[in-house]
Amino acid sequence: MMESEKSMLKPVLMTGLIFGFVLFLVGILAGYYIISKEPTGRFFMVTFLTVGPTCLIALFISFFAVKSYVKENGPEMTLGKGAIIGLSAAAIAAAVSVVFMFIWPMIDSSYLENYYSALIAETEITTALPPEMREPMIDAYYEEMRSSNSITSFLSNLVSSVFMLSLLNAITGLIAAKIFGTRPVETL
Amino acid sequence: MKTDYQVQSFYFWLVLGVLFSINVLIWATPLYVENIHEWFSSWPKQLFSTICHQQVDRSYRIQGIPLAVCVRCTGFFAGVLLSFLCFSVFKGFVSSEKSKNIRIFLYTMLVLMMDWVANLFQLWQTPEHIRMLTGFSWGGAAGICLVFALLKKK
Repeated sequence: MMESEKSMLKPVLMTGLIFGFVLFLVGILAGYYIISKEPTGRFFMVTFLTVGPTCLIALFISFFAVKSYVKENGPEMTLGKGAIIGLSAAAIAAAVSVVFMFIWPMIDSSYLENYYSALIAETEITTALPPEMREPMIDAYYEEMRSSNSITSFLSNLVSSVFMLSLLNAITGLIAAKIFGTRPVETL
Repeated sequence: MKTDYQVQSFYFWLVLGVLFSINVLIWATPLYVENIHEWFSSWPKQLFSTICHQQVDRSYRIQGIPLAVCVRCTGFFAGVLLSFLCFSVFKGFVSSEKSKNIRIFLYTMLVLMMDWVANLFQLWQTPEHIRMLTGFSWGGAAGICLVFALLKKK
């Protein structure tokens, strides 16, 4: 039992830390791209860049974690183990990326203000949204900007990211276990 | 897949519960909040913000309030749930070959990605229901892979 728990730790930790950093990096690069470009009103481009790539990467964390587990310990694994590996690796990755995102404005103090200003500028001139939607959206961005480096906002981001990514990766972990692993032989 | 396979019931109910809850949460968000201001700060919106852009003009709306995720993600999650349910019952249609199931998943993902990128670079603008269908088909393929994962010999 202890042996199997030990052997899960390394692939889960490594994958979680690497993917956490990748998610943070992709998110922050998208943020700087949005800050650096002139507002064009192409709102989809902006919202897509902030979430699209990270979403695709995040859904497959379990695949990399299970693959890494199989590489170290051999292919024998149950579906449940695949789910646990996916869940744990995604939880670590989500936590790491949220923590980095929280720390980053301490390194670049103008980041949050520039980022939200860019989002607000895009929202103001976009034609994709009806005017009655634009106003509350801009208000919401102002609200987010004010509270984004508070502990409450950090905790709420942490809980929602960890919960959602863990849940989805527990499910994709089942598929990953079937693809990369083989069922243990049942012995009497 | 021959009839000598069965879906592992513990995981089946677990996955079904999760998928059903996600779909209920997505569709219940407009009923849970009273106006668009409340929607922006609601916890279902916050919960799904990690995985969806939640752009209001690209989401289905009930009485002016958007669902918790965009049209494509709505299709995706509905597709996973329905396909998971259908193919758990009609498991004879699910291939026992790993590569076949992965191929279906990758092809539908490719279609979705192509449409995604084309919309992003304004090569074309896909109508709402087609976007939903691309998500639904990818979700459907994911559902097939899930059933495949849960199958074991009797």
